[in-house]
This record gives sequence, C-alpha cells and structure tokens, in this order.
Amino acid sequence: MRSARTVIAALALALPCHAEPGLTDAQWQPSGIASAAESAPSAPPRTTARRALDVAVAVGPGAVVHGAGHWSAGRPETARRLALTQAAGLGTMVVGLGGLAITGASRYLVAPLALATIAGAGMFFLPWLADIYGAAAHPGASGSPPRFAPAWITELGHRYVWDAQFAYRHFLVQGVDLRIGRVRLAQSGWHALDDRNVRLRVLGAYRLSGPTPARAAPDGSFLELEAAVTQHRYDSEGFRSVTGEVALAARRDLVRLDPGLRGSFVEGGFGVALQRFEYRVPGMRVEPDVNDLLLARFGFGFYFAEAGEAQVHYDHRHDDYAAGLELTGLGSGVAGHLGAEVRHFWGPWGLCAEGQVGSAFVAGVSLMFRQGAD
Amino acid sequence: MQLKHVTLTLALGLLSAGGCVRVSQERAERDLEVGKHSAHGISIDVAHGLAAVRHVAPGEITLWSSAPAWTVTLTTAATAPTSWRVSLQNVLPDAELVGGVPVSQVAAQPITRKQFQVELPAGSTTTLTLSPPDHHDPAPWRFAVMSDVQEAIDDVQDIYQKLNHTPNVRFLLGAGDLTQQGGSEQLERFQRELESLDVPYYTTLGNHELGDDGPAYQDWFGRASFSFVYRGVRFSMLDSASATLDPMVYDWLDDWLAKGKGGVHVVGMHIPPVDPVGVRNGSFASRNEAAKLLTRLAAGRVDLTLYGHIHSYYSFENAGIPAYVSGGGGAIPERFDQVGRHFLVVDVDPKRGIDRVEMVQVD
Repeated sequence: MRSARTVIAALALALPCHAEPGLTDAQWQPSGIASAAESAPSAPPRTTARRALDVAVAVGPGAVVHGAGHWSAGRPETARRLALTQAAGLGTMVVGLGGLAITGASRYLVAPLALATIAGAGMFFLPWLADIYGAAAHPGASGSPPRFAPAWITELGHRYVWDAQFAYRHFLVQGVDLRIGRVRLAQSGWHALDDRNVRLRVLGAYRLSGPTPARAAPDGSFLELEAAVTQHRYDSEGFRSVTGEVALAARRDLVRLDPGLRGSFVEGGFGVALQRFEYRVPGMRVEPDVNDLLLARFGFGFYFAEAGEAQVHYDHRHDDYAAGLELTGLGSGVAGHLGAEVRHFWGPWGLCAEGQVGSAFVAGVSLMFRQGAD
Repeated sequence: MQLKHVTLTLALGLLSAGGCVRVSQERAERDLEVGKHSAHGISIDVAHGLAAVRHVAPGEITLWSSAPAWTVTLTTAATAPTSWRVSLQNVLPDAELVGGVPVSQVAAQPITRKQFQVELPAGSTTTLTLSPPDHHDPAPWRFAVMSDVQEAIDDVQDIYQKLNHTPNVRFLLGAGDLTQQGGSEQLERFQRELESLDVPYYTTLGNHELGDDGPAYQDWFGRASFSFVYRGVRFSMLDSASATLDPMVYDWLDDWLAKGKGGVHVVGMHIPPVDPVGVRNGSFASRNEAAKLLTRLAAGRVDLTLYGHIHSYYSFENAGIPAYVSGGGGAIPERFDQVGRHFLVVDVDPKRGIDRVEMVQVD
C-alpha cells in the first residue's frame, strides 16, 4: 500500500509558477505526521564518514538500483519503496515509449503515451534524488515547510539568457503573486534590456488542497488547478505569440511516505496549451498559426533547515526562453528542458537563484519580499 | 543542508546537463568544405558545394552531385597529368559537362552516372559546367519528394519502381532519414539501391544520419544545407536534423531568400519547424525559433515548404505558406492514418508558382 502511495506521489501533478518558499519551524510538528525523531531507526547516529559512504553508495550503485543509499544507511524499508517506485517508473516508461514506437507516435494516442513516458521518467529518476537526499540528510536537521501559504510575494531580478538564435541576453524580471483564500492570482514579466522582447504572463489558480494564507496544513503538499495566459512579443524578429493553458499542479512532501525523507518533496503537473502565432511582415498579411502544446513537469526538492527550499526539475515546455533541449541524434526536438531553483529567506526578504538548460541557457537572481507565510 | 553547497551542486549539475546549445554548428562548418579537395596535383572547387568530392587519384576524379547544374573549377599543378577521367554520380540522364577544354563522354551506366574524359593542361585553371539542356526552360515541369526510408531499405525498390513509372519527374527531392543510423555501410547500401532509380536524388540529411561518431553523410552525399536553381525554381534545403538551424545556416538562408524572392522558391528540411500535431512536438526544440524561421520564410515569399521526420502525410499551412510533411519512405509508419508508404509529385509552373502537390501511395 505504501508503495502505491509512493507511486501516486511521484505522479503528483504540479507546475507552480512560483513555488512556495519554505519556512523552517523545527518545533512545529503537524498532527498526523510522525516526527523524524520518533520514526528514526533505532540504529546509532551515523558518523560523518559513514554518511559519506552512504551518499557514495546512493550516487554510485544507487544510480542503477535507487534506494541503495538507504540500504547502506540501514533503512531497508525505505530502500525497498524507492526501488519499487523506480521499477514502476521503468515499467511506465516502457509502456509509454513502447506505445509511441508501436503506434509511430500516432496523432490519436501521442498525448497519453507521451504523458506516460514523462510520468514514468519522473518516477524512475526522482527516487534516485530522494535516495541521495535521505543518505545525506542529517537527522533532526531537515527543514519543514511553512504552516500557511504567503498572502503575497513580489519579485524583482535579472536573468541572463544565452540563445544562439536570438540577440537578447539581459532581462529585467518582475512578478507579483497574491493569494486570497484558495484563490491565487499571479502576474510576471520578462523585459529584455537589450532587445525588443517581452514575455508577460497572468495566472489564476484554485487550491484544491494544501496550505492557504488563512488555513494551516499539516505539510507543504498541495493540489492546484491553474489557468494562464502568456503573451510573448519578439518585435525585433517580427512575430508574437499568445498562449492559453490549463494545468493541474501538485506537490507532495515525502515525509508522508517515509519519515526518513522528512524535509523533501516531489512535484508534478500536466496540462495543455493552445498557442497562436502572429507574423508581422512589412507589406504582407500573413495568416496566423494556431498549435497545441503538451505541458508536463516533474521535480524533486527539499526545504532548508534555514528558511527556503531548493529543487531540480524537468519541464516539457517548448515555448519559453529555455525551450526544449537540442540533442544530437534521435531524440531531437521532443524533450523539454532541465532547471534548478534555490530560494532562501531572511525574514520577509528573500533571494531566488535559478538556472535552466534547454535550447538556451537561462540563469539569474531575484530579490523577493513576502508577507503572510508563517 | 548548507545553502552554498546546494547552490554550487545545482549550478554544476545544470552546466554538465546542458551540453552544447549549437548542436549543428560542426555540420554547418563542414558544409563549407564540401566540394573542395586538393590531391595528386589537382585542386577541385565545386561552386556552392553542390557536389561532393568522392574520390581523387592520379588522372581520376569522382563527384556526387547534389543539384542538376553546377560549375567546378579545376586547377592543375605543373606536374599533374593532363588527361583526367571525371566520373559524375547522381546526375540528370541528359546532363552535359562542358568547358573551355576538350570533354568527351565515355560511359553512362547506370542512367544517373556519367564518365567524361577531360583534357586539362598542366599548370592551368579550368572551369567546367554541368548542366541539362532544359536548365533554363520556362515551361511547367514536375519533381517528386520522398523521405524517411530508415530500416525499410530492403523494400525501397517498390517506391523507386513506382517513381520510375511516374511520367515526367525530373528528379527526386529528399528531406532526410535515408538510413537507420547514418554509418558508411548504410549510406553505401542506400547509394547502391539508388542505382535502379531513373532520376537523381537531391537530399538533405535527417536526425537518423547523425550517427554516434559524427555524421559520415557529408562525405557521401554532400552538403546538409544547400541551394540551387533549376528551370526557374529555387530549391533551398536546410539542415534541421537537430531540431534547430545553426546561425550560419540562417545567414545562408537570408542570402538564398533574397535571391529567390522574384521567383518560385521551395524550401525543404527534415524536422519541421512546427508539428501539425503540437502535443507530439516532432518539430523544432524551440517554438520561438520555429516562429523566427517561419517569419523569414514568409518575408522571403517562399511558395512551398517540404518536411520529413513524421512518418505520415500532412498538408497544412505555416505562416501562410503551403506545407507538406511526407515521411512515407517506409520507416515505422504512423498508425491509424490510412497513409502508408508514399511519395509526393509536385507540379510547378515557373511563371505562376506551385500548380499541384499530389500524394502517390505505394502500397
């Protein structure tokens, strides 16, 4: 049963534009969730050398059999769950990829088969990261999420984008994220400082479960339904796009699955978007193009013992600055991009650093200010 | 965990995962070397790289043609032989080689191969021109399009036989994925199978030609991105095998678009900028780059875009330009589409534009 819950958690669907920052509250233990101390194995505390060995096992042999690090650390039950999730992910990937191969990526079946492949990839890879995290984590030092979601967050920063295809490099980024009860409203913008390029996005979301500004939750897990509209203007290139999308987004704290993974979480999400491209060619009227886009994402992260969190993720988007990975060989064009994000808060003030790798490199830092998280 | 350790680990991880973001740069640079070779006292330079130098030995040259017409400049050393056997492969059956020196045809077998005996004075520079007699004929004409053979090479003769019985096709145009993995053995097999085709096959490469150790394609079949004009129509074939165009290719394309603006212009590539089934994304890795390319094609008043990669048949428009995906060479077909193996026949009138695009089913 727990294995099944692990699988469901890995499939949890999420794609928040602004992941919620975590707050440390080492004293707070939400009801219904065992504390690390009371659930920790009765084995004696690990030495630094022993933890290094466990991490080495998780990184090395654990790359093949996820859970090896926990097995080395004397937590065989967690190791078993991670390995089972990996196996389930492999099976799901085989079904997805096999289906794509057998059907020749048929237009009628490609969406569910691609989603199965991405979900399977998430279930396959995330347990490895969880294994490394669990093998490295110091008992009692893990972070925990805020009890309440922040009422609002603002962000102002800089992003550097290196794209061989476009002249822009420097962007001013700004964002506002407001929560009223279960409803979330967000606006963000990327404004090129050295090109005529602007990406504006508005998002509305409804939180089906999880913490809100007025209601505490036992952990950081949430489920959210999102809708967004994005306008992207490439005025120097002569085209613009408008994208409308709906997505289901979720986070699941892994303490729900195993106390040894306290302080870590997985994210996942899927949705669909419709894009309209408008071409502005002098002296010509060019018919716009409309096309659909599959949205999917998975990630792994953890809360800092201080206030904040870090995560790495895969995002199947092909329409943002990072876009899809350009690969030499058979996978060309299909894959999305990889990303990482670190957030840290000192009181209401915070810093966010992020990087993405796809068709372009994206990296930058933002100053953040928030209110209401507790 | 310490914030600084986490940040450093994530940054290093991302950088190592990123690899290169100009994945087709090396191929674009190699394109510039196609058609150029110096050995055994002779220097060969095919204009615009429209033929690959296959073989050079004392008194012998073999070229693989990527276009119906081109010129080659041959510079001989003072000690070089004066009599040269020039073998041309993948040429129109009625093409002629002429220049300011004695040239005589000595063989033509199979029909798309020709051998000429050329007298080249030692220590001189000579320009030879390959051209069919109808090169500047403004009358309507037709060509065919076929891509994505891959593992179905054993059955490709079915397609060639049907093509041979399709009247008035001047040549076959290809949008890549001739082979399964692009190794020399597979490219040689593909060339061998082509011997039964009555017309030349002018093609770019696909992602299946990229191989594990870098593509051998350019050594065999020439440039991945090239442009030529035949009977009033400009053809520009682009290397999109890595789901992007290298910035060098965009520069070339700008030149080809400017030159082709007054007439009919057909653009072909393997991976389409946009997949008509968007959720599949069998297309460019970046939707924004796709829009950039399509904006340029629209501004360049391109008349027709031809793509491969997707193993089916689609007819649609991108940026208002008629577009066809034709991946009917036999590679694993898209199921439930009722299409199967096929090729396209395109009727073109240099004065009016594209008259008709017809899909011809083979099975």
